[in-house]
Amino acid sequence: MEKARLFDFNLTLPIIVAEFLFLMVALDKIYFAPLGKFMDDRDAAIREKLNSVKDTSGEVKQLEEQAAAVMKAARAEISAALNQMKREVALDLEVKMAEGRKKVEAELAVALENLERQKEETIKALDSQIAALSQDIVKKVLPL
Amino acid sequence: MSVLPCSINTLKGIYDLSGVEVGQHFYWQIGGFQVHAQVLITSWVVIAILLGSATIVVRNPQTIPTDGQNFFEYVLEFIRDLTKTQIGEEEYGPWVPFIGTMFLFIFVSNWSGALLPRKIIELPQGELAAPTNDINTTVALALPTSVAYFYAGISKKGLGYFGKYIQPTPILLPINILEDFTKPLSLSFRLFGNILADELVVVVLVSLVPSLVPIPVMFLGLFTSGIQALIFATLAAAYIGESMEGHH
Repeated sequence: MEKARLFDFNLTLPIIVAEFLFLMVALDKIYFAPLGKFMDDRDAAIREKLNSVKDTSGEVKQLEEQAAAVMKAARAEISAALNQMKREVALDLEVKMAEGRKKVEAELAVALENLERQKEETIKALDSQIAALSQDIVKKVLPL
Repeated sequence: MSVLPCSINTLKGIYDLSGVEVGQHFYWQIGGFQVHAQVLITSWVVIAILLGSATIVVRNPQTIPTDGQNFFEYVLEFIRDLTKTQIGEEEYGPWVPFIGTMFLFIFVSNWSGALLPRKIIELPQGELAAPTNDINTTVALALPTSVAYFYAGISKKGLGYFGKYIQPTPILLPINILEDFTKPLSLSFRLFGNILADELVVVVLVSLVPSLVPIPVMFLGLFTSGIQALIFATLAAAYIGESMEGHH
């Protein structure tokens, strides 16, 4: 066994320096530079995409406003049409109701007339009957 | 009487298996110079792991990341955040590879020492361990850090960079100069000491109590390994950031 030497500087040192420099260049070539560039590119792409998304948000707002305007117009149109229809229907209904009322009134008048006539007839009939009945009663009460 | 020698033999076997070897190195000769082969081997493994996994995962990145890519993206984000907080929003970009490589190399090195059962592969001498438990490696990582922050400061401010040595007052000149030596020294020795101590604690505990007891210490070792990698990378980034920012 050789004597142990802890602080034994020799050619190992420059060789390790060379190895380190080689490793630095090689790692930069195959790891740091390409992957770093790749990551930066991806970051840039993502940022760009995010920005473009922000831009379309304005477009979306505009479209939304347009849609709201269209809806408003459509609603106004519909409500106008509805109002007109309501008016027409109401008019129609009134005419029909007036007609119906007239008809009913005419029928009522006829019916009342009939009733009056019948009443008079009945009263006449009752009058004759009353006369006959009273004669009968008188006959019975006043025996000859 | 036969029980005792047997148990001693068993203990001796365990002791040999988990023998404490500090400062033992497996030497290779390269052109008359000596190198620590176990450090080089493990560092190659670490580099292979890093490059291999990065190649496989990053080869075909998806917009919606798969599991592996997600993890690598998370690591990259982490490194970028670390660099950004220390160096600043405008100038951190070019330093990401340096700080990132620093962090990943130290982290994977530390964990490779803590996770891989290195005793399985026998070396003639020494043992496979985390590359970062060798002073050569940690100094080899600290020196480029020094060079990096000098380069950063001078390229940003020109020779005016050296004006920081006499700020806030010229009396502090020796201390400011000393700082340039203590920075790499503290960086390298902190990492070296922590990783070596961590592995030693595990080894000593294993040699004393072979089962169960070292396990919490091993987990603590994993934790320390991560923290040390983070500290090294953060401090390196902080030094670079400090040398680039204005002192007034």
